[in-house]
Amino acid sequence: MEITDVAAVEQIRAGSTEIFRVLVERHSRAVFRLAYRMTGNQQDAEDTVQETFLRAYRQLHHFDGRSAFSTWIYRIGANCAIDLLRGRKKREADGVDLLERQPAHEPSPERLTASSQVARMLGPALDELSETERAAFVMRHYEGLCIEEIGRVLGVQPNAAKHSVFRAVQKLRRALEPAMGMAR
Amino acid sequence: MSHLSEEQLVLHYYGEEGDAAAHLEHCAACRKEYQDIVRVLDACRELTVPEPVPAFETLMWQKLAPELRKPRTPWWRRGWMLAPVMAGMLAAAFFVGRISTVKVPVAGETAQAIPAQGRERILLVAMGDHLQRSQMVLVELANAKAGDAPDIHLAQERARDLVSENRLYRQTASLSGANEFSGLLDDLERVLTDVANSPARISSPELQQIQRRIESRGLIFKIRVIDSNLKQKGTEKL
Ligand SMILES: [Zn+2]
Repeated sequence: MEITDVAAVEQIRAGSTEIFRVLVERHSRAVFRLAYRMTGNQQDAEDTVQETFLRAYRQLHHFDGRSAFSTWIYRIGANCAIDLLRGRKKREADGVDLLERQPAHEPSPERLTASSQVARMLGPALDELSETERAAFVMRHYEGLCIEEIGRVLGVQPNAAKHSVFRAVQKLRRALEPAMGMAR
Repeated sequence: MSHLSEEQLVLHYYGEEGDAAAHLEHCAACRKEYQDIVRVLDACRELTVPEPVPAFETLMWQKLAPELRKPRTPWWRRGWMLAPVMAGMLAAAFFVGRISTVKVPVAGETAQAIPAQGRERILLVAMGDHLQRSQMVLVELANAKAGDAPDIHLAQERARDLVSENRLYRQTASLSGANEFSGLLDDLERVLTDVANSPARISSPELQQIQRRIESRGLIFKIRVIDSNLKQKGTEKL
């Protein structure tokens, strides 16, 4: 029989560290998806998954079971991705590791032919958003969270979350509409 | 009749603006604007997520497992053995006792109003400890330089633990009508929550906002006053 998330958390708290593996295997793909959309590349997404589960493990005593474990870990994941983006911006500003990092969103040749110019511009356009705007947009647009849930994940009021989504869409329109032959 | 704002149209796209549909039905200008938004946002769906590496979950676990085994008990937790629930119970005993000393007119000192002096003393120590540790976090943040992205992750981890303790003390204080305490704990909790929820590498404006908050509420000073009152109360009881 499959152990539930809540039961797993209890066993881990009681000292069975190994059980944490169940939670990692069950939820890491969802966190990866979110992290990839927020960071734009595979390596950063994997790092985010690592950091997310490490933080979750260390803060497991804060998990009170009122929300699902998936929601809780998702929330940590979003915040880890935001931290990573902030760190990345700072390193780039300092001129560090520009050479080391894989370029984000490098389209494969087949994707280039198959998709419009828009797809190619989307990655850089997303990189132009602030961390919070990007997080809010990814959660609303790709993950289907409602404004209120986004506010909870980011620890802000719904109005602030709404504003972040809106700002993101405004910036994306500005970046993408010319490429789509749309006059503004 | 005024047109729909861009924000309303964006929310409508996500099904979070109930009133837009009726207007769109008979307003060509808004319909055009909405179609533009739809085109861009639909195009954004092209961002595909690649499959992670093979055996991704196993790989993640293999990388994580050694990290989990590293001991990581922060120094300030060692020796702190009062579980929050226990602390909450003690807090209840303390505040109930405190209230009855206020409400029941007694000739002598507070002795008869508080049935379990021993428990109260433990609580005074626990509360004092909580306030002192909170104070340390606040002082550290108040003194942090708002230069480029200061790393506050240590203060933050401590804040995370303090928040849940604080909540129990605050709830009990407020239920018991101990308003001077619950007011202070309420202010403290807001700041601690802010700190706990901010990123480990905080931006300067965010740090400055937290610092302003600490300062405007006179939090550090108030904590010192209450802490020294608690200490005094503790000595009276001895
Ligand atoms: Zn209109």
